[in-house]
Amino acid sequence: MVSVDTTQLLKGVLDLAVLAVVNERDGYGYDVVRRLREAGLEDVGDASVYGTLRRLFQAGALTSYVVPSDEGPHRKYYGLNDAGRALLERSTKTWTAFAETLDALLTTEGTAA
Amino acid sequence: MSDTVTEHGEVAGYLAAIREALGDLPAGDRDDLLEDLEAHLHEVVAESGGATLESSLGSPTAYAAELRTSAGLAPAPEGAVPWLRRVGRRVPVAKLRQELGGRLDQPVVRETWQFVTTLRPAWWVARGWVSVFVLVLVVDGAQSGRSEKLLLLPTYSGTGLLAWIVTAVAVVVSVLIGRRTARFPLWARQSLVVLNMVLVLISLAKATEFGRSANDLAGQPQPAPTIGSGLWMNGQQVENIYPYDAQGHPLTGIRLYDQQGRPLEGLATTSAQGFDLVRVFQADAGGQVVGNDYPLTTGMRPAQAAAEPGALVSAATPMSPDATDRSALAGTVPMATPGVVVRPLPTPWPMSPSGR
Repeated sequence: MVSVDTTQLLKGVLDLAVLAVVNERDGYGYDVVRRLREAGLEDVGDASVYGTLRRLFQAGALTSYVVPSDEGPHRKYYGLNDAGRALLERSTKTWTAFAETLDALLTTEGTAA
Repeated sequence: MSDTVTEHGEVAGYLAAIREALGDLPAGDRDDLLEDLEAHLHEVVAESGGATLESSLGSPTAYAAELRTSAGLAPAPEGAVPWLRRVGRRVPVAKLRQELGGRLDQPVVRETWQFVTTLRPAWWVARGWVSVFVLVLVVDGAQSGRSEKLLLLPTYSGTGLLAWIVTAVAVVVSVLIGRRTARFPLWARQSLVVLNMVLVLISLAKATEFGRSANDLAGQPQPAPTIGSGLWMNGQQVENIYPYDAQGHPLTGIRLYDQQGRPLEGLATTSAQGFDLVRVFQADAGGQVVGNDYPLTTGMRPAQAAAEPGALVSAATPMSPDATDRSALAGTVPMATPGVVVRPLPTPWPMSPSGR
């Protein structure tokens, strides 16, 4: 039996994590990757974050604008719009409920053992 | 500095591999996904402190696959090329791709492939040049059968300048196509592949043809092909030919022909001593100059006296091993003799160099 693997867990909640990071402050792709890693999600893949940003943007949850960079090409910054903030709120609720459920489950298991 | 160069090469290679892995996506989606990627890759390289992109990000194919799934796009189809998928019903292409692809997905193979892809611009230039060349060869060769000429620049009906312009335009067009191929729809890219293959095949066929004719030329005895045409022996152009019969009597009026029935002509117009050799030719009954009537009647004059066409000087050195020939020569020298044609010098010989 394989133990629970962060990468697998991340897949389900990456949208939420990305939304949270961008909500804190606008950022470009690699900046979001870095901030997720600094927050403790070290296994997050560059490509996943870029793909997620793009999908959220396509879905209308993000705004995007281009900022010229000193070294090299322009950077595409992402920020939350109203739809994004609403999505973040809903997702946070779902996650909190889910986490509480699982915590409760684990705590009962733990006391039973 | 060289670090920057290799870094650029690495980023370009990685980027190209990802672009290729996303090749089946609509151009808009793909460009969207790739928009920030180059800047991102440069940043990763700059931060990684010497580690390769492969080791920090994984293989480009894996990266592309991750990008697809997280962006909510369809995973790469098994056989990106439709007709390949059709073939796949009989041949297990997908399985082959998986097994072979897995085995080939190694740094060495990827690096080699990346290097090969850096040669693409050179291929675009060559393609432009070769396509004009092949077109001219096919059209021109079909018209006149002159497919044996090997030229650096295609000439069509001797129009040199036009050939330059056409070739330059073709090269530019080819490069433009090459730079835009990635954005073409699938059918256009497939047609391009087919056209490229046809072009290469024709070029190869023509190249072997050239190779054969070059071998044929090499097989023929050609004493000094670089000096010019005419009759040569041991690196010197023959000045005259003296036929004798078996008894040692000199023969005159002998007409010599080569294996194809061509008159044997093209003797030296200048003697080894630097004298101009003035040929005195007979005309046949039809008034045609007979240039292969041996021994040739020859007058000689110093090169500096060439301004006076008629001034013939008796040979200072024996023109023939036989003294009687010299007196015979003296007798035929006058130009006004009916039926005798004096070919003035210098004369372009009938067989002009074909190599130019």
